[in-house]
Amino acid sequence: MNNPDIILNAPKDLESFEGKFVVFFSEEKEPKVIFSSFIAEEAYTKAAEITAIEGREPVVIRVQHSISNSILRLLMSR
Amino acid sequence: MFCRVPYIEIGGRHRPYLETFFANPTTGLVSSKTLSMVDSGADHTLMPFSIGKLIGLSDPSSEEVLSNIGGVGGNVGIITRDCVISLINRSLNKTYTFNEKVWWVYPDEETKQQQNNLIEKIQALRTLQSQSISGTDLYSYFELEIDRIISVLAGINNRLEPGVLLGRPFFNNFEFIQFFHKDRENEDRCFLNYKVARQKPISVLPFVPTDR
Repeated sequence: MNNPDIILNAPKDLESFEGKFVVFFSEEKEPKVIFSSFIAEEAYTKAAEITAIEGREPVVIRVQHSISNSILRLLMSR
Repeated sequence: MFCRVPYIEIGGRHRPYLETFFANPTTGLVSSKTLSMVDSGADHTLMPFSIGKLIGLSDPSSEEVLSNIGGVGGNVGIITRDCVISLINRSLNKTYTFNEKVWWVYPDEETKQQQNNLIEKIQALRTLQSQSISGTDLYSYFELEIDRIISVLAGINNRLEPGVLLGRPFFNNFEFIQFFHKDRENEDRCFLNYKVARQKPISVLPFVPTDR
């Protein structure tokens, strides 16, 4: 016998947040990024503020940064 | 009774993640909640630098030597620390807490110096940019140069911030854990089952969901 599934989700548009720490509610069906920063401390502080305001705690994860992509973007923009 | 956890899609890939948070056993300082990847191929539980810093794990003493492990993107320094890991189970509305040893990713002196130099360069470039006129080639040059340095910094962070990996030692907290994989074209149907061993948690507290 098993319990109901534990369904967790992440935002779909994380490619645009590469290298950043993102804050979102993983229990939502289609979570949106509430806050993002390259700096971990900023994201953790924001998560604590959101918890105090909303009464529920978001998760903080870092989106891995694809170096090759960013170099390509840089070259394309020159 | 066991729990079934479908893999979560992050960045286009489905992987087994659990909701967790961390605490310093000495001070009681608690981290933000995060998603930790369950990794049956990991010999240790790995904690990124920022979480250890957040909960105030002690920096390595002068006698302690950082171990060096290789990984994607280069080598990283590692130090072992005692830690408290809490696992949220939304199905049972419980939070299970365990005493664990973690491998804490820690920057060596060279990496710290490199980071500081890059941050100083960004600050200097921002100062110069603020003295230039928006919309000019010079202004755009500073913008691109700042972006380039941020990209290098983010690359360093890839090594220091790999995300939490719950390795095999963490599996000792389960009565069982089972992974149900399908082929790569059906990753969205993968899931894991687990049941926490009765005697392993140091505490079991109610988790009160406040979902909307």
